[in-house]
Amino acid sequence: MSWRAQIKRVLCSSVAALSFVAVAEPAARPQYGGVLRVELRAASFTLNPRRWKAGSADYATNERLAALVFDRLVSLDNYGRFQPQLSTEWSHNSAAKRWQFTVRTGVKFSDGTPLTPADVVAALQPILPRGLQILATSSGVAIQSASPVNDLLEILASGPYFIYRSNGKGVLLGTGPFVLENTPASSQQAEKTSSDAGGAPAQHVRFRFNELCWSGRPYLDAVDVMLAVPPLRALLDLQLGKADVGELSEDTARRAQQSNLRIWASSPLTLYALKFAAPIKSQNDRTLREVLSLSIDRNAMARVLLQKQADPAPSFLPQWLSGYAFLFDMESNLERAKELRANLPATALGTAQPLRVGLDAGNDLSKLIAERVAVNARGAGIMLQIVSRTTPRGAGDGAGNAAKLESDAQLISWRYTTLSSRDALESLAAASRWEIPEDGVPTDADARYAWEKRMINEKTILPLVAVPDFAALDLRVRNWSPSAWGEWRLGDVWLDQSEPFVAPRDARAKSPAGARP
Amino acid sequence: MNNQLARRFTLLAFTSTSLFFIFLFGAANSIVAQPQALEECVERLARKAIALPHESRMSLLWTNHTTLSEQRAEHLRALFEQRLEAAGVRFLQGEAAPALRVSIEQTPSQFVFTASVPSEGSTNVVIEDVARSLVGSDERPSNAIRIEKELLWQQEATILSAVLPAVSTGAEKKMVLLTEDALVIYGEEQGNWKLQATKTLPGPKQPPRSARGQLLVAEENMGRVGILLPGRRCEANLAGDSPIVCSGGGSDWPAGRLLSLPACGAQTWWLKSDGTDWTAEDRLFLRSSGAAKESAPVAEWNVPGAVFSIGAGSTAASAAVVVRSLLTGNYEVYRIELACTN
Amino acid sequence: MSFRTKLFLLFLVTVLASVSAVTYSVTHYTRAAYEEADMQRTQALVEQFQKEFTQQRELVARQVENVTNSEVTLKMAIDLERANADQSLYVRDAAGAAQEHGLNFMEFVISDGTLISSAQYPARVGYKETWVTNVKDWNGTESFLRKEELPNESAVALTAVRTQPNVTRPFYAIGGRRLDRNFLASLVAPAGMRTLLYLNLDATFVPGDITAANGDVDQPERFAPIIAQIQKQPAPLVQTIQWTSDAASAESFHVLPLTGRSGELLGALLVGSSRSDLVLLTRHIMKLSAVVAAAAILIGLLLTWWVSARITRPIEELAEGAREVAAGHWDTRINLSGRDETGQLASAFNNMTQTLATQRERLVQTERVAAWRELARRLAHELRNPLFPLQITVENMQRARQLGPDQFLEVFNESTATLKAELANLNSIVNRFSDFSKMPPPEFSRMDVNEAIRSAVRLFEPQFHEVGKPNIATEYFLKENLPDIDGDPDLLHKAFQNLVLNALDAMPAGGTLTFRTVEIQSGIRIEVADTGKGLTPEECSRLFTPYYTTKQQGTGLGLAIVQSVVSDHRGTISVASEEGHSTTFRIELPRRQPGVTAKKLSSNATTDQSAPATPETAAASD
Repeated sequence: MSWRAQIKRVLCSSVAALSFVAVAEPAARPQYGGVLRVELRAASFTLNPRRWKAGSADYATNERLAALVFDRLVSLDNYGRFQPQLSTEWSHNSAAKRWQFTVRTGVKFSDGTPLTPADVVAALQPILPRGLQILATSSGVAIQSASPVNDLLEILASGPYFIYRSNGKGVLLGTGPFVLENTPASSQQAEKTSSDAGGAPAQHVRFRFNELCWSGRPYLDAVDVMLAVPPLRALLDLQLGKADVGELSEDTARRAQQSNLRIWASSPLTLYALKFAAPIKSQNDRTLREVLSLSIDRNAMARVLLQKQADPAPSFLPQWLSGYAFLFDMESNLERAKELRANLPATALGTAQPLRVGLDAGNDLSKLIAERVAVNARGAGIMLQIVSRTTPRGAGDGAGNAAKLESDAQLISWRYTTLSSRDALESLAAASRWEIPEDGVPTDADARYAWEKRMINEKTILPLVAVPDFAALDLRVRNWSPSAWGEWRLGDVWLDQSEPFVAPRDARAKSPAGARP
Repeated sequence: MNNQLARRFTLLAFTSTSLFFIFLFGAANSIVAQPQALEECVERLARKAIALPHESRMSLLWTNHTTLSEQRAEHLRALFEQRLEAAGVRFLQGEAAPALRVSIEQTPSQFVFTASVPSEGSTNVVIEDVARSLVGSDERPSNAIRIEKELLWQQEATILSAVLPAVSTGAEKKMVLLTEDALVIYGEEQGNWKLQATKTLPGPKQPPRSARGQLLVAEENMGRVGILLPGRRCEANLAGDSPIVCSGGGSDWPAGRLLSLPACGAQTWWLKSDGTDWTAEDRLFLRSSGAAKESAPVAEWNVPGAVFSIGAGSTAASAAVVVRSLLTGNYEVYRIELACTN
Repeated sequence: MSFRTKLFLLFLVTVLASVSAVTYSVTHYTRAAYEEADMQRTQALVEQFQKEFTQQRELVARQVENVTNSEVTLKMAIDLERANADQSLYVRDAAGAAQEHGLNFMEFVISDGTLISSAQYPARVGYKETWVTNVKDWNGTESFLRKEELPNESAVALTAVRTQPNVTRPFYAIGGRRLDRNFLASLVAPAGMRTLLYLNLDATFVPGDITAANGDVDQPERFAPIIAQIQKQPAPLVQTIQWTSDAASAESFHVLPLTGRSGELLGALLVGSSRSDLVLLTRHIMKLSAVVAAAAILIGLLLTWWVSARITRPIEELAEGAREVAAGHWDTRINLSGRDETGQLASAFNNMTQTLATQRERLVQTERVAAWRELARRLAHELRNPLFPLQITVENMQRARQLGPDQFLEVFNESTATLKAELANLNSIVNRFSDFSKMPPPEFSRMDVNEAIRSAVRLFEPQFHEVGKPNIATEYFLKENLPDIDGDPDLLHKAFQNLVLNALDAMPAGGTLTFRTVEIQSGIRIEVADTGKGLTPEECSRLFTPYYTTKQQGTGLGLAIVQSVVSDHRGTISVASEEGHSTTFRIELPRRQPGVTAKKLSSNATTDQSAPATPETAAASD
């Protein structure tokens, strides 16, 4: 065979291979262009990580939108591997007390100014966990601590640890795939889309693509975000084709599933728990909390009441974060609860007068969970009274009238915002004002488990259920590959802008004529 | 000679380059792994377990809730057993002996090993973890998925294609079959399929040997189906007596079905079959839509016959598959449903 | 009580009795008529309520039937019959069904009693509702009242239960409508009536659970006794509440218990009927009666005055005249004209007084002559006794001039002695008469009579037990704490002495002298009694005449002095005697007048002009 013929053969087989690959992946090729329409529940957001409150419900929105504009030093992929972002390399000394990060070169902020190690230091220094110091080096930054930090990568790959710079005019600049085009205050289209009486008027925010992004231009031209959209409205908009991604609640997610919409659910990211106002002061206090804990049927709450859209939470950290949550006992024992209840005096709280449980009036899920707790407790002979505070939903930093009512306990929600279980426990402990050991929450898994178990036994907080995030997606949204812990990664998303007649889910690849599928 | 060498070298270079680009499409990240990291973790776990008070005779319950393969998990189990036996522990079968439970869990960045060690009526717990990034990539994709199947219908007459149209909440379920000459609509009543309507296909009847057809459903209109026939396409309403309307022109025939199951992750999978002839068992398999053709399927089912068609199911995670049974020669309709292993 | 008063009272009683009888009759019949009307209105309202209630029950039953028989529910029931059916799919369905069919409450329960979905209490999903499964087939049953537990409260609901008929295992739909004030709004109450609803959600009365159609109820705590009673015994009852101190604010309530399936009390309908109309009417009647009675009394007064003017005034004048005559004004005349009986009576009275005055004049003159004769006789007798020895002695002295000087001297000395003695005797007689004639006017002061008696008797103690003389025993019955009198201690002392002397004279052979003082209405009574020979009635009548005596010796002035003293003290003296046994002198003196200045009291006898005027002394006030 002549060499031309041989090359030809190779070329043909390569082309065939290529085409075969192409055929075998009929829809894998991303398309550039299009505006992704996103509808979110939160009424407002802030891109400034310093203003994010650990554990708050609005944290998710802030983080998702910040991820459009900013990058972190590292990220964690769905296979458990840390991927370089603004840091290309990292290392630590044997004691893990000093970490070195090499800052990627050639990265520019959206205004064209270069990224420097000083910018990294300025962004991270105010928000690093206690005991960590960051300083700039010639090629990057160094983070050091008096005690070993084995989970620094998990910490930096999640939470508020974005790299940004202020332009001096109150605008934060980032290196991410998108740039904030307008702020909610300057939006000209403040459209009322809320169908709830008294709901906040929806706000419209636009993020356009950042052509200077070091990881490459995103597929989307822009991301249009509508804020303060109730989940039911988002669901309707999706069904009508007026939105591409809508944030849902657990009951609307269920409804969406039944109506064959494409639904995404994360791992359980929001913990609902009963938090007592005061520490245990007497044996009666302890007995009361024990009775309450034994009477609560977390399984039924998650499986039946929340229609399997939640997981029972026997511990503060969920299984997906700690890996050992299954070791905590969560079975309810009503008989034992009644036995203990019989030992309480007639004048104790919950018997002579009801135990008052406060909750945020605007959160329907909190109310439902609180009512279920009340029903469970009643089975054991403990009376609960639900008192609603009038803080409006999405009030963020305290807008609206928050009437503080006297209550003995509160139904709280706590959002997990870090990939480090140690850091998650520490921030929960700090917010709850628990006694944290001098060296912080233990790094060793054994010790951390023991500490968490001890805190559970303190019964200052009774975990109940953990609820995932939900979102509904239009079928034209492609490459939707968020992480299980709630990162949406909209930079990788693209829109399929062709219009097939039938079965968009069916493949558009050509099958050889006559061949059976 | 020089020309020959040059030709061979060129050929080799070209081939290599081509193949390089070919595999560039489906190449997965290959990270330098530390294959011993898991084993070292198990060793540490074993040491901790031995250091605790423990029974001398125990049974071992080993569960794997991670994406590690079963082989890998078994290997780790054997290692753990070996270490404990070396420390004098006897492992017994059966429930009579107290159980030492070891569970492998995973978090986004770690594999977590927990051992609950029994001792005189109480249990002590030890925990060890290892970064997932240090472990080799024999993992399955992040969320394990499996295929569930349910036989819905079987008959001797030929079924070319089947779909399970989505219905609104509370409405009765439907099954639509395409035979050689008609569209047959069934409704589910109290667990049984009841014939509701039969609509004759217009035009000449197809020859039996080469009879082909594919049903499609319209997302926007659950009451209509599309019918792909050789050389033409038709549309039919499921409700009412309106006839099937056909028009000329071919259309793309689907090669499989794209499914998604949010609970298992947000990715999509292709449901396809190998496409064997009628004399061998076929295979229905699930592959991630982003994965290369050569990559291993995430789930598969050895079908006891030939897969005739894969049609739409009533949800995004389901499909209707028509199989001709090797055993009976009957045409069977299965509902295929995706489920998470976790 | 005077005739005028009696007449007035008689008239008054007659008028009042008549007015009262009429008022009572009118009020009684008015009340009866009102009660009857009220009962009828209440009955009408209760019937209206019952009719409305029945309609609501049927409506609820129909609505629940519609829900049960809907296709959605049938699908749900069929699906849930499968083994391992996913119950969580239907958790929200009840809320939709409730909203669609206009029900407040909706729940779905499967055959084992598990609550699948609840519109009103979603948190209870998964719990058992065993009361539903006790009845296999609810179809055709009536709606009933039931207590509905809600997250923050309880409510009473009109509930119906239906079973889905087309599935093998029972599937229950429980729906209901809330019983609240909106239900009352459908009832139309006439003016003056109102309807209230009490929801019995607690073992004890809760004021907030009682509502009216138009809002809250004032003073709900006032219903506590009514509700307590109906809680104890769920049966219709009637009770009245008076809201304020005004009786017109009273309202009577007919209470109807509302019970559940097992007869437990779940609520009560109160039909209130204001009693203000009746009370105001009754008051009006009373006021009218009072006016009539007042007018009658006024007329009665006028009539009485006129009648009395015609009848009782003459009689009073006559009575007054008689009193004047009794007081000593013998010349009293009644000035009454007229020819009727009163005029004749007045004329007769005037004649009588005139006759009495004339005869008294004659009697006084006769007694005066008799007293002068008695005085002259006594004086002659008294003076004769010392004069005879005087005469004998002078004759002896004339004869002794014939004797020698020594004999003459002896006779002279003896005779002069006798002359002196007799002259002293004469002097004494003259002094006694003089004393009697010029007894000083009394000087009053506050004094204790008992003490005066004791001091007067003390002087005679030696005589009572004198050796050789008969023994005189004394007995004292003097009342302690005798009121003081205004008296002249000296004069009374003298009077008591005279009485004692008199008693001594009456008991020459000894005896018992008794002193008694008692308090009488007008003052005090002093009794001095002896056990002497007693007095005849004639002697009793003349005892106090001056110079009258039953003794051989004595001037006869002692008792006259006693009488004079008693008279000066505005008292009276009398004597009672039993001849041969005893004699008792009784003196009655008036009690001391408070605030009256003690002063001289001019006696009936002539006053001694030469006696120096005694200064007035203030009487000690009581």
